Amino acid sequence: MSTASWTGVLQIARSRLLTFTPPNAGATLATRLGSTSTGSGSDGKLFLDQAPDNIEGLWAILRMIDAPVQGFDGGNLIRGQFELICYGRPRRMAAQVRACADVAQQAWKYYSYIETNGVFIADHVTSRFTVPYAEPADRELVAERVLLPFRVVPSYLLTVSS
Amino acid sequence: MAYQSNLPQITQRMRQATSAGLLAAAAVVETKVKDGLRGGYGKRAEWPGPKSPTGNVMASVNHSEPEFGAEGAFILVGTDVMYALYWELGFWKWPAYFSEKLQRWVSVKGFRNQREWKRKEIWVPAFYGSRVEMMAAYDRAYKAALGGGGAGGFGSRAASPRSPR
Repeated sequence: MSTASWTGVLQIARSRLLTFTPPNAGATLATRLGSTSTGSGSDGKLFLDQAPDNIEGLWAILRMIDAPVQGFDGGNLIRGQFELICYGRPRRMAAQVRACADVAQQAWKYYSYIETNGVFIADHVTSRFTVPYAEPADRELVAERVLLPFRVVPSYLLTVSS
Repeated sequence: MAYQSNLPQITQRMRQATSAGLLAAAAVVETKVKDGLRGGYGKRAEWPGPKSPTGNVMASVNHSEPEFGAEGAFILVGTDVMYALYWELGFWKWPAYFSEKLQRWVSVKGFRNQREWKRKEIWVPAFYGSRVEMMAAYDRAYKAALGGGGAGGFGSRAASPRSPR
């Protein structure tokens, strides 16, 4: 896990969300979502970009929706935004879906990751809402969407010399 | 000569300029979203509905009036067509020929593969992709509303009131 690649940055965010233990000995997101036997779901059903087609129960998808280079430090600072959607099916899992989103929001509140030549800082959550599915959408699907902004100075940029 | 404060007038003009800027920026996003919605969301996007796109969502794209709040001014661009939200965020869509009763029966029986995952993002990419254009449009409209540029406009007069115009 490092900022030496964009994949590493995604893994930093994913690992934080899955392994954070909420206060009062609550369950981690990895425990709540469960796991599959193989692939990225084997350590917790938080998938990057896309979930398997035959998924059921509880799962979540993490996507990068914006990552512009900003600031005045020579193009090293990226202020990005993740979209995390926690899903559950059937609809009776709504409370569990909301609880997963709670844990994600807690995990993102005071998180930073620092290494030599790289830093990842989570900013506070700016948006959260429940998607009100109705026809033509499958109404048994429950989805809670959370936007997770962050700043990163990745080492794969800082270590490039002119 | 008694002192006269022009602050209320200046504040009012800046508010009007901010409104003009927000409207111009919103127009950029609206245009981009409408371009993306030109072909609609595909067959049977509306339920029940025709097979071909109707232009319903494209025609519904609108914006609010500029609003001024504690954290600054803002304007909203959106639609009141609910299924635009489903397409933007993704949803499981039943085949067009499935009645609600059949959907429930299939769900109970566990025939999961009848559903298709659908997602077509238009709004969020349009917003993020037009960031620079929005700021430029805001800037132009703001300056024009304050009388920027040209003869007699803001900045065309000397700073001192005693200087010849």
